[in-house]
Amino acid sequence: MKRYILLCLIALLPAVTGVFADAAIDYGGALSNRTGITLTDETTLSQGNGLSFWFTAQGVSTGFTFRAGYTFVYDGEADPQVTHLPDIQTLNLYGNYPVSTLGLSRFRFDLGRLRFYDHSRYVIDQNLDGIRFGFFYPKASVQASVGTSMLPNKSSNPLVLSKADVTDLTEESVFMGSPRVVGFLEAVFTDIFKQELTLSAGFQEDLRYLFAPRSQSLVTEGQEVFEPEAGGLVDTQYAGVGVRGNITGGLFYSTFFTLSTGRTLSYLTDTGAVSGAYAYTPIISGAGGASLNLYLPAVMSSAAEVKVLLSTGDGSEARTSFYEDSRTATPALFIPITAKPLSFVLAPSLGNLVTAGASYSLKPLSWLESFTFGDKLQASVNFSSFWKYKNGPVSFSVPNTASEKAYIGTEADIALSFRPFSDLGVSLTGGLFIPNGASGGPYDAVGATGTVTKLELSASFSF
Amino acid sequence: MKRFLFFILMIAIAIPIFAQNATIERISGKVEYLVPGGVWTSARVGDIIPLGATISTGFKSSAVLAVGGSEISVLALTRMSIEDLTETSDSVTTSLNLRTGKVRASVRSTEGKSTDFTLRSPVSTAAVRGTEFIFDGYRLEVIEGIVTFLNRLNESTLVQGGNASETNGDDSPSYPEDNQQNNSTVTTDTSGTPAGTGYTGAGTTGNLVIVIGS
Repeated sequence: MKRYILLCLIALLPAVTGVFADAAIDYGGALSNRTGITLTDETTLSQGNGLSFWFTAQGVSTGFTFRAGYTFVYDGEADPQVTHLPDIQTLNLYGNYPVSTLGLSRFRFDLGRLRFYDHSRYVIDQNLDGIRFGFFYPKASVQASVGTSMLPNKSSNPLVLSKADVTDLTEESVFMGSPRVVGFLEAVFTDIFKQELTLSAGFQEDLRYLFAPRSQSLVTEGQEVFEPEAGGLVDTQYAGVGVRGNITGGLFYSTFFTLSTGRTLSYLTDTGAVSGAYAYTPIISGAGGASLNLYLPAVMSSAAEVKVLLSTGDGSEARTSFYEDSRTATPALFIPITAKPLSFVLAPSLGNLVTAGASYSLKPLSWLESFTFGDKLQASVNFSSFWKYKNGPVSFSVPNTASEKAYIGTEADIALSFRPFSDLGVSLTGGLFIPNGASGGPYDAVGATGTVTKLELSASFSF
Repeated sequence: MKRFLFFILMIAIAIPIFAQNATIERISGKVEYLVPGGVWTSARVGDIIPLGATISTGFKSSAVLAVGGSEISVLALTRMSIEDLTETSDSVTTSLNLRTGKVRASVRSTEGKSTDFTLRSPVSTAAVRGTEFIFDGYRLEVIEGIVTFLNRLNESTLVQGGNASETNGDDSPSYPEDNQQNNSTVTTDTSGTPAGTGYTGAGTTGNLVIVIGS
C-alpha cells in the first residue's frame, strides 16, 4: 500500500514541480473584523474576527492557489452563539492550455476546493471540493464540474436543504458539511444575435443514507408516525437558461429562468383518513428573474439597478414548514442549493418568495480630481420589497403563520465602502426592515417585532 | 515581348490597387519614424509615413496620423508599425502593428467601399469598421461603434461604445459589464480570492486582438 501511495506521489510530482518551476510565487495574509448590532425589541450583538493566509504559484499554463484561515464568530441571535471556524477556503490546482483540435481554442481544469456557481448565481454560489473541466471555443464554452459538500466546515459553506441539515448545524458532534454531491454542466454562447446565451443543467444528491450515524435520523418511506423534527433525503435537479447583453452604452440587462425537479419526503394522508404515511414525491418548481443595470462612469461612477426575482412555493395546506414537511404529492417549493441572502437585514433566500428592488451607488468624492482617495469611497443605497408566492412557509419565520397576506415587508439599506489602500478596507452598512404589521399581515401577532434595524462595521487588512 | 508588355499593362489596368498614405497631421513632443533600411528620422507635420515604417513617440509625446478617412492618435511611449495600406475599387485595407504603448483610433468608412482596419498587438488584434476606440495592447475601450474583441486564441466578446474589455491573451476577454461593475464598485475585502481561482474566464491585461465591426 505504501508503495502505491509513493508511486502516486511520484506521478503527481511533475505536475506540482511543473507549477513551481519558473513560477511566479506570492503569499500573504489578512486580518478581518466584522462587528454588528441588531435592534428589535432587544439589542443583539455579533462579531467575527478572522485571520487567513494565502499562497499562489502561477506558471505559464498551470498554477496553484491556497488560502486557509481561522474565524471566531460570536452571534447573539444564533445557536450556538460562539463558533470557531478553522477552514481551508481555497485549494486549487489549475491548468489553462491552448488547444487547436476539435475546433477548441483552450482547455482548462481546476481541481480542489473551488467556487461553484451557475450563471444566475441564485441556484448555487459557494465553495465545494471537486473538479471542473472547461472547453473553450472562439464563441462558446462548455464547463462541467462535479463536487461534494461533505468536506468543508459546515459553518463556512453551509448547504441546508433538509431537516437533517438544519439539525446538523446545531449539532456539536457534526463538524463537516452536508453529505451531498453536486454536478453542473453549463454551455455559454457569447454571440447569439449579439447577446450571450447560457444553458445549464445541474443536480445535487443527498448521500446522507451512506453515512452512519447521520443516516440513523432519516425517516423511512412508509412510516406512518409523523415526526415533526425529522425528515428524509432531498435530491434536486436544475435546468436553466439565461440571456444577457448590452442594450446600449452603459445599459445592460440580464434574465434567467431555472426549472427544478427532484424528490422530497412528503407525509400524505388519504382524504377522510385519520393518519397517513411518508412517501417520496417529485418536486416541480421554478425560479426566474430579470435585472437592468445602468452604469454612468461620468456621473461620479454611478451605477443603478432594478431587479425582480420570483421563486415558486407551496401554500400552507400543502406544507407546514420550509424544510420538508410537504403534505402534497406535487410539492412546488423551489429549493436552491445555496441559500443566498437577498438583503442585509431580513436576509431571506429564494423559495416561495417574490422580490423587487432597486439600488443606486456612486463615488461621491470622485469629482475631486486633486483628492487622492476620491475614487476610493463608495456610497450605495438599496430598496427591496418581499412577497410570498403562496401563503405558505418561507425561509425565515413570520409571527403570523396564518396570514394570507402576500406582502411581507420592505427593507432599505445604505452602505459606505472605503478602501484608501490596497491592503486596507473599511465598510459601514446599515439597514432598516419595515414589516407588514397591518391587520391580518404576516407580522400582525402579539409580541411580533416592529421595525428591525441592523448596523455592521467591517474592516479588512492584508499583509 | 511587345505582347507580354501589353498583357502586363492590361492586367495593371484591370486591377487598380492604390497604396494609401499615412500622413502626420499633428505632433507633440518627440516623434520619430523609421523607414525599412533607413535611420530614425524626426517627424514633421505633413510627413508621409510609408508602408513598413515604424513610428515612435517619446515621453509626454504624441502624434496624429491620417490614414485614408481614419485618424489615429499615437499616444506617449508608443511604437507602432504600418503593415498594410491598400485601397482597391471596393475596399480600403489598413493594417497596423502596435508593438508597445497606446493608440486611439477613429475609423471612418469610405463611401461605397468596405473598410478593413486591423490593429495588431503581440497577443491580440483589433479589426475596425467605422468606430472609435482606445487600445493599449491589453485593454480595449470603445468610444463609438461595436468591436469584437478577441484574445490570441480567437475567443471573443462584443464591446459596444461606452464600454471596455480586457484580457491577458490566454483567458477570454472580459464581459463589458464586469468592467463597468469593477469601475463603479469599491471592494473592502482585502483577502479576496487570489488570481487564478474561480472561473470568470477574464484575466488581467495582456495580448489581444481587437476586431471592430458593426
